[in-house]
Amino acid sequence: MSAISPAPLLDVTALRRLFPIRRSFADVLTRRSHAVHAVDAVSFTLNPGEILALVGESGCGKSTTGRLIVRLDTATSGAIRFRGHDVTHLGSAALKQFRRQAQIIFQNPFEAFDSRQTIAASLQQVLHIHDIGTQQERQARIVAALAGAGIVPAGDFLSRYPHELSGGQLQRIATVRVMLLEPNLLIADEPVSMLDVSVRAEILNQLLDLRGSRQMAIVFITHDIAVARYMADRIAVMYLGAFAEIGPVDDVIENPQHPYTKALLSHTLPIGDEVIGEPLEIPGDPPTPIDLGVGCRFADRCPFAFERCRMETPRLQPVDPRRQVACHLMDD
Amino acid sequence: MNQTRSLLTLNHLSVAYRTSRGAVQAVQDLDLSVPAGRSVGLVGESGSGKSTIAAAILRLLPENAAITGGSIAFNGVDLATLSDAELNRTWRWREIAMVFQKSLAALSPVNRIHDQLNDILRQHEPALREAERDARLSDLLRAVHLSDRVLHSYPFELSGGMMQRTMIALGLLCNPPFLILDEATTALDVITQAQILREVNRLKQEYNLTALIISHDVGVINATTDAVAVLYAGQLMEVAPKRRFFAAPAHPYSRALIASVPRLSGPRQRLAAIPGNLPDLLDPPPGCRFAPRCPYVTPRCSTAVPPLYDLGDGQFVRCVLFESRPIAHPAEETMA
Repeated sequence: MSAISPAPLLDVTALRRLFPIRRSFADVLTRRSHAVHAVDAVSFTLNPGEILALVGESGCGKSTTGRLIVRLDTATSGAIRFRGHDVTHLGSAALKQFRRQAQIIFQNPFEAFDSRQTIAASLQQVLHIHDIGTQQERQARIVAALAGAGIVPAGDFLSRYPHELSGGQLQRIATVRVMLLEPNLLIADEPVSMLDVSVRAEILNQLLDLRGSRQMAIVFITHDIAVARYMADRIAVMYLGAFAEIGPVDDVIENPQHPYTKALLSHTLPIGDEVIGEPLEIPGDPPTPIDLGVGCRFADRCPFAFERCRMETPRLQPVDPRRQVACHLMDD
Repeated sequence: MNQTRSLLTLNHLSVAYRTSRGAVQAVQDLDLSVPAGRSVGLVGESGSGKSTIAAAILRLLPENAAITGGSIAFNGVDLATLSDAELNRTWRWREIAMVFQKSLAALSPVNRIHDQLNDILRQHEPALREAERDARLSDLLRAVHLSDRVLHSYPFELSGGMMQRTMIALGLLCNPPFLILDEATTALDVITQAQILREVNRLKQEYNLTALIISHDVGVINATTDAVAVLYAGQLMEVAPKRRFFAAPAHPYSRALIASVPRLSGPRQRLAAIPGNLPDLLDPPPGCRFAPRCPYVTPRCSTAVPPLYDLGDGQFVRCVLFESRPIAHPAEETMA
């Protein structure tokens, strides 16, 4: 972008992840192979302290994108640059360095903890792996971090096992655990969707506070656009592995451009007397993105599709300096 | 709620689970009525007892749970006193049908949808002939916007949305007047959920259904109900007409619940979290079970369970903040 923009913390270019599908005997004979296009040519940048929400329905590739960024999975092609360094194919030593700065939290906190370890042991381990501090310093750092997140008295929690805590408590501790490393980037993959409504706000506010106090950037992955609006500066809407549209939160929500964004927003359930407007009907369910040919991947369900949509894949193009949309309707 | 006849009335209903660590009172002395032709929402978080209530109505409680008090009056008959065989013969499916969240588990994976629905229909409507049964199945699938192709599929071949539509069709199979939806759209994607909820609303009109809609999601409750009952830790905290519930929730928990949900419009102010956690139901706080997390708590909140106070216009609230109001007797009102 323009010269006054700060250098991006994260720069993702044409990221692709194909999952090969087992070939049938006939495929072997004809030398064909098939693949699920889980993430297909995703590009974006993220500035320090910025929160980008990846929004979409199940199977749209939002979680795979998050896993690729922190290298829990390796891209088929494309590049991930972190502070200017290419981290797409780091070896194990460099990867450990990178992971100290880029962390991830998941939907189910119970799966993120070893059920046989106390909370204290689990938090200690993170600092131990990254060789931070002496035993005593680690302990002090852990107690301070828990207190900072309002988890007091810390001693009450440290000796407990994960199953003795509620999902909300454990998710807050999971967040504290990744923050012990003081990362610059956090991938938050549906961190509140398993939790009760009344404790969701606590986790969301905790993340917003961390962004505020530490200038930590967050890729916030969610199926819930209202949660994305609360959390993010920008929203990227994903459909079948690709961005349909990306832009500032209020622009995307108040003035959606891509037909899929319009459909998604118009099907969000209002609260109280909120007015959402007439739903934009789209038929069917999202298909599995196997062997995508040319054309817009939303064309079969799009009420505005025309000939070109089936002939040519629309590329993400700017409609204004901060907003990009992948739709042929934008050319009219 | 106005003077409509109540189809389902729960009177002082209590349900308890036996556990290795003692008894858990999951539903405590609950009064609730669902007027004919209306739909009432039960909203609450995990541990609120909302699904236990649904299971108690159809006596689908797990082995270690039992109704420990009160009655379940459906059309004047106390379902709590009937035998399992009687419930099966006349009530389940024919009078009251239920759709769950994980409905895939309700169907056999090795038989086609058609054969399974056909079996259920044959059992409950033995008078129908084969051709009549097939016609009924096709009609029902059309009513939930599914093609006949689904009938020849196995359950695992269907998407989550198709599966839940099939289960709603199954619920309507014997033309029941009463439908219970227990988190029926919770696992679905945004668009599919909204589409199915709109279909449910249309079917309620078309089939003249009375409904009990159970959800943790105030958006789902808003989309499908006329009145809302708020549960917390097994206690009924508030009952109100839907619009009133969203515009002027009275109970501190109801207010906190609505305030904690992010919205798509309006100012983006900081969400108010509810501090603390659900109480341990093995050792619940005495009196109001929300008291330990309540910003307005008084010493009296812990001396006894507050009565339901009548705020007028169909709004009732269980909270000492409203003790200047008359005490409600919702059960007597609806038993007439």
